[in-house]
Amino acid sequence: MLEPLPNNSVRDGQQWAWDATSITMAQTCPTYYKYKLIYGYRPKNTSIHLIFGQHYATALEHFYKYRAAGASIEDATRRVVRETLADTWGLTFDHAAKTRFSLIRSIVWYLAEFGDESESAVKTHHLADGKPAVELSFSFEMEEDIFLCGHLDRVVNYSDSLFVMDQKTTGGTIGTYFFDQFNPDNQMSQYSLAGKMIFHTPIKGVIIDGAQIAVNFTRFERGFTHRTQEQLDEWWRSALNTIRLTQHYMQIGEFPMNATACGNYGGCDFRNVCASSPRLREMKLKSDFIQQVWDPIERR
Amino acid sequence: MTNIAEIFSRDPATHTESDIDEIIKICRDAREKFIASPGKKKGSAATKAAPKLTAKQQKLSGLDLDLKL
Repeated sequence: MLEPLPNNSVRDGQQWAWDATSITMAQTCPTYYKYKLIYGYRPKNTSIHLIFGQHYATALEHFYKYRAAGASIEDATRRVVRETLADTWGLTFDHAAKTRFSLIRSIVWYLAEFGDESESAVKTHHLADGKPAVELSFSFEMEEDIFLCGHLDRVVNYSDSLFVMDQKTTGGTIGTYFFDQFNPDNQMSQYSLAGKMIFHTPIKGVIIDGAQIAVNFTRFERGFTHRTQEQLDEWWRSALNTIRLTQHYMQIGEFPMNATACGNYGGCDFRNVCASSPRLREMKLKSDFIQQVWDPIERR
Repeated sequence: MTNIAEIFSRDPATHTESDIDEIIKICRDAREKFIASPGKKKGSAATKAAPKLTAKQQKLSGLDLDLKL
């Protein structure tokens, strides 16, 4: 018998704290949502792309945090390189281009390119109390017992407007199509919405620094994704509908399969589970997956 | 000359400040070579500052469009 994984964002059998990731899970496929969020299953071997992207984003986020605390560019660079080396010690990077060395190289190259804000048109925004707008957590009530939660790494000023800043890595060449994938996109819409809620002022959208990770180089491209107020209103309604529908599934204990999503992004993690007879699925989950909670409240 | 593979193979707890500086230097040198390589010169997409938005781009940014400005 499968047991739901304890999760601070789930109370009395209903998820009350939602983020863009869990909304995306629910929109992708109710069965995927069940396995991923309620039971917390994930493949035993975490995707190298995920590992690489997380360490890369963490290093850049910490760099701006240290800079905001007064560290020089050199000192902040040394600190994040040292931290990343320590955090990745012992990890297996089973990929031709995404290796431990190319991770460090990508961080150093990014900081050489964008780290000196005095030479850049993009600058970290400062809050009314003078503090830099980095590592901002947010949570607001969408309706009774439904909260939208998340974290913004950095908010910046660019061309007299506010933007949320985000980093993405990819193995492919970065062109228009790369940035096209972020509209529509739950994470980017949530960032834009949260920025407006936090600052009580229009946020133009999200600046995305894309990094193409190749074997011998890392190439950067900066792109934008914008949201109008009408788009954000529409996203809000759509997200609420997804949440209400998912809560209905939780009430009745039935999570229908969306078979059109099984092949997305190279194939769903749970494709083999869903492809097997229902009585064999529990055994497959227990043998091929590990449990790790996805809690929208938790800071990552 | 330090072998970067040797530094990477060591427990990070044993890394000295000069090890970290060496890694950063090697990465920066590689970037300079990459930028200087044919077809990759300063002023291309991989260089620093994002340009200021023009007045027309500013107006466009408020519309329901996704543009790479």
